[in-house]
Amino acid sequence: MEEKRILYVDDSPTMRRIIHNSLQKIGMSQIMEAENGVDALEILQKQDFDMMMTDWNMPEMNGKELVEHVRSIDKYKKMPILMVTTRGMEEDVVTAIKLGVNGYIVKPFTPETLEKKMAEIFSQQ
Amino acid sequence: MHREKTMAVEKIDIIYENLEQLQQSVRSGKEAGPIIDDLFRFIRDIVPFMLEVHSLMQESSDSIPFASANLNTISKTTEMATHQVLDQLDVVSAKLQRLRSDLQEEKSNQARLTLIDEVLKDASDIVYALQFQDITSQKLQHVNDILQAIYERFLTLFRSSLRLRNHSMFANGMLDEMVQDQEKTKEQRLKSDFDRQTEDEIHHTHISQDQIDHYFRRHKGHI
Repeated sequence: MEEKRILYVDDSPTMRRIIHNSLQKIGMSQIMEAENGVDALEILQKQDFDMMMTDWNMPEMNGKELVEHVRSIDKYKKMPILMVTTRGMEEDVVTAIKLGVNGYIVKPFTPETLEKKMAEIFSQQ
Repeated sequence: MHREKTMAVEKIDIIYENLEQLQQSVRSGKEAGPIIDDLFRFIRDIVPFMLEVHSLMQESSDSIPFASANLNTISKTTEMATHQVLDQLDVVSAKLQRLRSDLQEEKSNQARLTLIDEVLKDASDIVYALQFQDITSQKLQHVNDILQAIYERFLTLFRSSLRLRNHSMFANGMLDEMVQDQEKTKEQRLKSDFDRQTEDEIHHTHISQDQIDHYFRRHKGHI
């Protein structure tokens, strides 16, 4: 897979580590991490990214609010966003689609699911 | 526990009955003597009951911070253990990668390379299995939020019970009513805060990843 700049937002250090390792294994080395939505928005103002991956349940600003904010920024209106969350109810998936999320993965997931989902999202760009 | 609850409900019912009888006596204009007797009987009934409730509230509210602290400790301990396992897996994976690169030089090592690839895949599966730490941590956090919300309500009830105990039944009757009205408003506000705080943040997975993908494909263009 072609190298991309990725921002991963999750309050769990364990998940950040697992995702970081997984992304490196599929050839992504430009990975930035944020603990919550507020930190993510600060990073997004300073740097450009090709994709954002975010958890839903987070302190300060959750993933839903973060996606709303990000979609209101002109340069990120079309940036691929992948939601990685424990929330697996149909209503959550619908909410994510309405917010403009490009993909949705429910935890726990396998490395194959993550790789497949990323390839799918980038092939649509 | 269930028996205690039933006894408490029975006591409340008796108190309500007493109150109703008292009200009817006043309405029908009977002499004051029996009314005052009833009132004293009512006070005798309610004081031990209030003391019991008060003691229960104090005991319960004292133990909630400990329960909450224990949940935080569990969360921290599993996180530390998970990171230790992740550290070891990183070391094992790095060593296997190095070994793989060394063996790759010679063609005769194909069987060993396959075995190494299998072990690397096993290590990767263990890494992914450790997602349990984040999931359990979120569930513990939710339990903690509920405990905190209950604790806050206990404290409020505790304070209001102390205030009511200091009032005399006759002279402050009107004041009691006002306090109760205020408490009722506060209670309604707290109830909505409580409902909000205990709203289930962790939705259990009812649909598979395949179903989510299908849903995404089906609805993406229509919403």
